Amino acid sequence: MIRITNIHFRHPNTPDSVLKGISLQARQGQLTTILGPNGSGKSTLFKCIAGLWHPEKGEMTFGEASILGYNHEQRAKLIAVVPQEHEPPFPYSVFDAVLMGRAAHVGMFSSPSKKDRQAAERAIAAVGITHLRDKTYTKISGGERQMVLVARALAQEAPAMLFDEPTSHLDFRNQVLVLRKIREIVAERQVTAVLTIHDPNAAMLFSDSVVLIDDGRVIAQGLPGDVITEENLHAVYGIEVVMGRVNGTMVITPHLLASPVEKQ
Amino acid sequence: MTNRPSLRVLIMLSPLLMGWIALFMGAYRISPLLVLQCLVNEILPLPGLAEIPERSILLDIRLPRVLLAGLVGVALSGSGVTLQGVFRNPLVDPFILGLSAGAAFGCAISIGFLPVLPIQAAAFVFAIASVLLAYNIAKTQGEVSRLPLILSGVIISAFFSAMTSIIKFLVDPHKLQNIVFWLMGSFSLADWRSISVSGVGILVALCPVYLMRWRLNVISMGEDEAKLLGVNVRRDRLIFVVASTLAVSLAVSVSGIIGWVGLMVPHLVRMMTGPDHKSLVPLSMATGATFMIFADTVARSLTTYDIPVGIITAVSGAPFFIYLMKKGGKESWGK
Repeated sequence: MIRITNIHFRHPNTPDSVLKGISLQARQGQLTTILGPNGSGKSTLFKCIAGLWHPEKGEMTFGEASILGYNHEQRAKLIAVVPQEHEPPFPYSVFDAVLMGRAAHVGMFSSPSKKDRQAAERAIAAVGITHLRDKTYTKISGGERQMVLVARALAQEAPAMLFDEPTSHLDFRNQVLVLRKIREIVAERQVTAVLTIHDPNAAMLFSDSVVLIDDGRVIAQGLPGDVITEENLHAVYGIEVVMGRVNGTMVITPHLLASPVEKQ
Repeated sequence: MTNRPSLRVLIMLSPLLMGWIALFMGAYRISPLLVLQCLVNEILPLPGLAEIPERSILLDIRLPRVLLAGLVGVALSGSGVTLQGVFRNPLVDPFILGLSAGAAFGCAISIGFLPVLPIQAAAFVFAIASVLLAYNIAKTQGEVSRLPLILSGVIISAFFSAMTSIIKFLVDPHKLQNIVFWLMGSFSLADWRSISVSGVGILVALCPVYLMRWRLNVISMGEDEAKLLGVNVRRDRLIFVVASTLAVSLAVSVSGIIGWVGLMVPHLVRMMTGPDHKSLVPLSMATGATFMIFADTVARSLTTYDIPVGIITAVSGAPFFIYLMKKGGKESWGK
């Protein structure tokens, strides 16, 4: 379980805090989504959990261990991060890209061992992209690339996984495929998974627990149905929404006729 | 990327083959067989070979020159492939980043004014200064984009070339001739002493690069991503840059400025065998050695004069760069 307690973050030489005391928990075997509008501090929180930025104060634990002081190698063995899709400068093969997930396990003066290569092969098979194994990473589609990044994170063999808006560049079909695959992995391997996302509907459909944040604070957290409500979304996004039940799940749509209200 | 083991083996063996060819080419004709016999004789003495004149030409003149050319080729292409990976930029090499110009300025100071200062040390100090300058000038908001890095390399190169010109202007004419000839890039002064100092130094400097080469894959994905994958980016990048700068400085101190090799060779190898640095680094080093020995053999056999080899590499490098620019288009220049 990842437990974050009262995290504050401020950019150097700026007066305003971006994170103003965020506390949340992500349980093992569950998918915890961080939902929030642009500028809510979602990406900042993500970078703090990933260890790229250091919070001013607060505490972050994984199980019993306090991980704020961990270096990148220690952290990479605990938390595997799936970044937003990107393009590397060199046309690596998909296998080479997945193998990079082993970096924290490979000694400074050595190259991946047979064991590392097997871990990469297993990760490729688990994500179901064996057909892409020898393709060029820069020449596959965005959805495929996201799957490769998931495989790379699996190869890292860390007990926790962190996903940075994994669907933001994907079309409708690929959004569903990627999120479904993530859910499957979380359930199968009992990892602690945290995911940031823009779309409340996706959060509603795919997560076990939702943390709604705005302006650097947690507005609500808990079961998707309890957190994603008309009132909460109105408060956070400043638009009128209507919710209705389709096929057993709640679906959120914006109210077309109401004009947007000013957010305080 | 296709795995072609036979091609890789061929590339790794090519320096030996090219070295052998280079040993029997030249103004004084020595048969290819005799070359082999003389080399074997050094390890296992054969009857009747000890006193022949060819032995001296081979062992005292041609062999050191071929070895030095090979080692300089290893240094230039090894650091070229490293810098391309570290700076995530397929269009940089020691020459373009201004590192060679910095090293040359250090050497010129040492030759012209401060003979007490070892030429290798002076080269290294100014080479590392120029690469740090180029990197920091190109850095905006923590990011180093491709084009700015090349431009700042151009600026640093121009600056250090100008400084070298001042030295050439001020220095006494006898030393001037030394500096000018050596700046053009040549192996004509190769001897066993330069191999034992700089050649061995190049191999030692490139050891960490060779051992850590797989990490270049991870680092080339970008600073944040490499950190997330568990790599200490700052430490590793520093090791890569210092090691390759040291190798280039040593190369420049024995052979002057030889441009383009560090750019061309990794590109050619990447096209043939793929971008994985685990194989790209050793294959580039081997190809660099082969190319350098080849260029030097052309330089000394093409005419009755010993043309500076830097001219040969520049003549082949400039069209190659234009080809990359036109072919790669946005892929090469990108963001």
